[in-house]
Amino acid sequence: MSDLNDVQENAKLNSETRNTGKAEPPHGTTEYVAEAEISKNGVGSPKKSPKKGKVGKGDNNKVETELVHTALLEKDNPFMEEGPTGFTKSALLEIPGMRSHNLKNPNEDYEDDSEGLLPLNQESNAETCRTSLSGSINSMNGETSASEEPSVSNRKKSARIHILEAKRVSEGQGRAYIAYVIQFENSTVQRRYSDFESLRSILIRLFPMTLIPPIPEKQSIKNYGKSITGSSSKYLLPSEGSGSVDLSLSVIHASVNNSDEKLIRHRIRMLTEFLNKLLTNEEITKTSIITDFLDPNNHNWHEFVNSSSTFSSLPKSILQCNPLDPTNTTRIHAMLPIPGSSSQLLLNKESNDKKMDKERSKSFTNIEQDYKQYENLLDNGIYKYNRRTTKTYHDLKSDYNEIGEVFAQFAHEQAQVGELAEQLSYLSNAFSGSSISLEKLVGRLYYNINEPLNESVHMATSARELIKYRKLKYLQNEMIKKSLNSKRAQLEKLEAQNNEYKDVDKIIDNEMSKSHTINLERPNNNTGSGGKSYGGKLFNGFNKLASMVKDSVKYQETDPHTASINLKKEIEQLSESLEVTENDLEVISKVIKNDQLPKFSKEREVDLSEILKHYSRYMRNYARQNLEIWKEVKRHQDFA
Amino acid sequence: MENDKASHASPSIGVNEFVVQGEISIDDSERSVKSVSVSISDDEDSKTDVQDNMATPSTRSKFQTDLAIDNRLLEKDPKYKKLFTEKRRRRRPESCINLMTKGKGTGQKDNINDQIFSLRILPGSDLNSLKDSLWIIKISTQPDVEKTIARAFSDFYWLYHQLQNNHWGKTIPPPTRSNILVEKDEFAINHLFMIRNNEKYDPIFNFKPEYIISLQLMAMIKHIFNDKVLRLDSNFIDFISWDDDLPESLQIVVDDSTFTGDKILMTSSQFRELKEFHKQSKKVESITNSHASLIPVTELTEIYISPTKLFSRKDYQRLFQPQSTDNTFNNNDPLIQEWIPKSKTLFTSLSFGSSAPTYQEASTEIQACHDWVSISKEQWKQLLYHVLQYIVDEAVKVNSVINEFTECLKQISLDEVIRANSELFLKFSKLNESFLKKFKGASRQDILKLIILFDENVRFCESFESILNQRLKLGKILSIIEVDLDKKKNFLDKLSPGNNNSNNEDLKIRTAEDEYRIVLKRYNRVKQSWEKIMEDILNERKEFEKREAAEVNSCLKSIRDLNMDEKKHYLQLWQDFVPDEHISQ
Repeated sequence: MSDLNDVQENAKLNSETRNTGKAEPPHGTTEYVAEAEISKNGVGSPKKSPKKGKVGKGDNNKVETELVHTALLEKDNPFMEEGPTGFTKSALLEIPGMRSHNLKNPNEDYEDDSEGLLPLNQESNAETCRTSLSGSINSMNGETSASEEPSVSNRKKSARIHILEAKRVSEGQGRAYIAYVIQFENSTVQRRYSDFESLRSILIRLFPMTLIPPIPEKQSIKNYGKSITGSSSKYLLPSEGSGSVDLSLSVIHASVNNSDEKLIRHRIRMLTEFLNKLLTNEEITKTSIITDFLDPNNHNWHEFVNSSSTFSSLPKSILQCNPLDPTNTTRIHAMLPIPGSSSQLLLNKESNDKKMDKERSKSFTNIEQDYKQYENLLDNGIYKYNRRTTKTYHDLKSDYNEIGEVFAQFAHEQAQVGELAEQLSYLSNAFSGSSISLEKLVGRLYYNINEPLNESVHMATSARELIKYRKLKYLQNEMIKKSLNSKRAQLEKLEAQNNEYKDVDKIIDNEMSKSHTINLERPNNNTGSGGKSYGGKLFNGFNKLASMVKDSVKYQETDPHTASINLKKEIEQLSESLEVTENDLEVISKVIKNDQLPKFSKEREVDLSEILKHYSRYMRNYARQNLEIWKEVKRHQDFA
Repeated sequence: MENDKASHASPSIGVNEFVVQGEISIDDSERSVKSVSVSISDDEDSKTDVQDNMATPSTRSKFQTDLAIDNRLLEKDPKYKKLFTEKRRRRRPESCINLMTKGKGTGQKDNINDQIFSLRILPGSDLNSLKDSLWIIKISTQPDVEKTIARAFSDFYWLYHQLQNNHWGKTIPPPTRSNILVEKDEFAINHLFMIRNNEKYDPIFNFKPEYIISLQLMAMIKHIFNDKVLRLDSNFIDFISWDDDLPESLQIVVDDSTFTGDKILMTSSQFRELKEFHKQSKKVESITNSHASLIPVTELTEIYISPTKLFSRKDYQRLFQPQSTDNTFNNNDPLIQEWIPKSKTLFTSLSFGSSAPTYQEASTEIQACHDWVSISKEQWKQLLYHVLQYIVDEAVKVNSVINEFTECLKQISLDEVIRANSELFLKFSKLNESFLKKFKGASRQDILKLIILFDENVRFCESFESILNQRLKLGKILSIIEVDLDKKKNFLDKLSPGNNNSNNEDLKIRTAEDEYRIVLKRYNRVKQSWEKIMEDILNERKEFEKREAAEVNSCLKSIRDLNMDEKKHYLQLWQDFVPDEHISQ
């Protein structure tokens, strides 16, 4: 039965990949070109129109949810709406998503009917699934960065996830949690933090060789329950300008303290970034997990996960997963050992012995050290000093504000001297203006510089997790090697023992023959009575000894044979495991070293350059505003 | 019974009283003439006292009359004889010095119409205890004539109290803020002394409190020099030890351009001069009865008022020290016995009990001055504090953070982990370095002058408060005189109904009327000076506002210009940063 389930799952994945492959080629190129034309014509217009479209589609989605009562209606609705949507908005990228989403439903029905397929067809489907996955990996390796970046930017422009609202929801028994309302394209869905956590753990097991973006740390529900109480009120979060997560649409639907508001805002930002980064990952978007997570029909994510056979069949540990296809975990993968923390000592010992493994571990150790140093530089360097700079500017803003107030008060009191009062009022306006511009700068630095740097630190931590995964795989391989060697040594010992036993038998036979000759010599010496009695005793001893030896030989012959058979089976099994783990390790090392880490390093370099670009832009705007303020003061002075 | 008392009176006593009346009338007429004159005449008198040989023809008669008065005083009391003779002996060598310098002075005057004096005050000892610290005053003119004087910090306070006591209604800024001395104001002390002790701060900003105090002392002396009335005071001339004539068109320039912070050691001659000045100041206090040295330094707003400034010695003794009348008046005289009040607490001291007369401010302008000075003082303090904090935050904290950030960026650019962005980080660190170089000490000196200006204004407000308090005390004294006048008038009313004994009663009435007239004249004189003080106060406020407006205006203009230049450079830095970034990409 488990084999049949695996086959069905493979068939599903295969069908999904085929569908996505079919859907993209005929429409993708034309739509990209169309979008490029739209962007060339006007900068602001494409941004505004999708939002309006989204709002309209949201209403349609609500209508759909209200109308849906049975599966039959669910089938009929896409067919009815497919026509007008196709005609009206054929140029948008949203249509292929809709089509793929609609096309999945009949395919699922088709898969349900495929239970009666022949075994040969099942096997062929499994093989094609493997080849397709490997092909996709090869194609990913072959892609160039130049072609990759435009697609990412296009997708970013076309579809972005927004968290519109964070509100308190009670689940009975005095417990409550924060629900985040997520908007994607034309649908909205509510998810709680544990749903995001579950999604991330599933993605880590599904895509062990992929860098999964981080999510903020877990906070206690009790603290939330205490802090978020009372009547509901809306806190509209301010926008922090361009080049970052746009939180202008987000609303905190609860009465919260300032610190809790910051915490929730931070969570909203991190979760939004998490989902948007998942959308940019092509390998993940090939599967339907993201769309399932964002599907409003799946009200309860945990129920969806438990009911899904694909997710429930995944092994608990990523080390027991097949890195190429975690859903197709073989018996060999299931029996792999899981290394503990003490196995690192073994690694150190083993690495001293073998040069090849030593070289491999050295290169990855260097990589790990580099990423650790990178994380340290980000955390203790740029992030730390930017935070200190932001705090210092904040204090300076307060000082400017106080000076402005004092000058204004002084100007008001010194009304007798008109000229001085006028100039003091202008100067107080200048200081107040500087305070306001500095406040904007502080806000921008905090939201668009410090928090992205914090995210970069977390991303570096995720990269180190990948390296750790590879390291654990290596330890696993070493454990298998060690056990295999020990088994072989045992087998050799058994064979050696068998040989020794044969030699002993030969010696004993020879001695028995010798004793026979002695027996022949005795009748010749039987002249006296004393000689007769002595010869008889010796013969009896030899007979007893020979009988004992024969018995022992018979006993040992059966046991070594059984042991050798068992050892051979184990050796064969371990050899297969070793082969599998070596292949997996090779694939993992190759993918991580040549694909994931270079991709991550490029992304981080782009992020850092963007952060510095924004930093210089903010500083330039701040300087320009300051200059305008003081120019105005001088203008007033010259006029007076 | 009254007839019996009258019969006991002898004609000789009556004749003596008549003679005494004549003396009093003569003194009163002279002083009434003085009271009519303006304050310049008082300065002229002091000027003639300082320089005997320089008397002008117009003041010869006054000079002679003064000499006559002095002679009479010398005849009566031997103490005064010693003091004045010593004073004259001390002035003889000065006259020789004057003769020597006259030629030079006349020569210089021919060349230069307006003389410019540069003033500089430097610390002469460590600032462990500010009260005991020593300061060196250097006054130099353009023809390279320099005068160096050594004075203790307490001498500045002595001068402050003497001038304040001699010139009512004139504001003299105190030497330095009282808060620093008594350590009440923690904020100011922490910022001033923390800046010195903290080694992280750059040397330009690391100015010392000696510098601030020297600027404050220079501001005080400059203020006195610029006032044509105050600079002619004998106490100030003794303080400066000035022997030449001070030209009327004198201008004082404070030399605060450079300050190395090195203390200048005092020479033995300067130390000897300092001791002599202390002795002289004690003598002056004893002569003028000002008690300047006894006043605690912390009580800046309380000015001691000497009643002898208002009244003659006889009237003072009669009004405020009844017990001392035994020497001059006969206790057996029935008229005098009746005049002395029964309760002595009213006149024994200036500290009033529950029966003290109440005084209320009648002038709305003076009341407005009271309100104005308290508000202004608080506002200047707030400005001072906030500007100090602004300097510390912007000039110190921001620069230190950027400095460390620059070092961190350099380290990152050298690291191999981030290779693609190393050039970008290097340029970013260079930007921060150029920022630190350009904006490190640019607007620091200017803001420092603003701080000193605010501090000077705070001290002016304190001095103004002292003037107002002085006037309040004077109002209380006027109340005392009014009470005295009422009593005298009641006494006259009692005597006037009796008409039987014409000879005896006429004599009594005339003596009472004479006394009443004398007291009334003194009251009018004092009240007139009181009104004059009010006018001086109002004028002082106007002058302060004008001077303040001019100084603050010039200071704000320079701040504005410097801020504009700073913002331009700042904008230029970030504009230059962007094209490099594009090139690197």
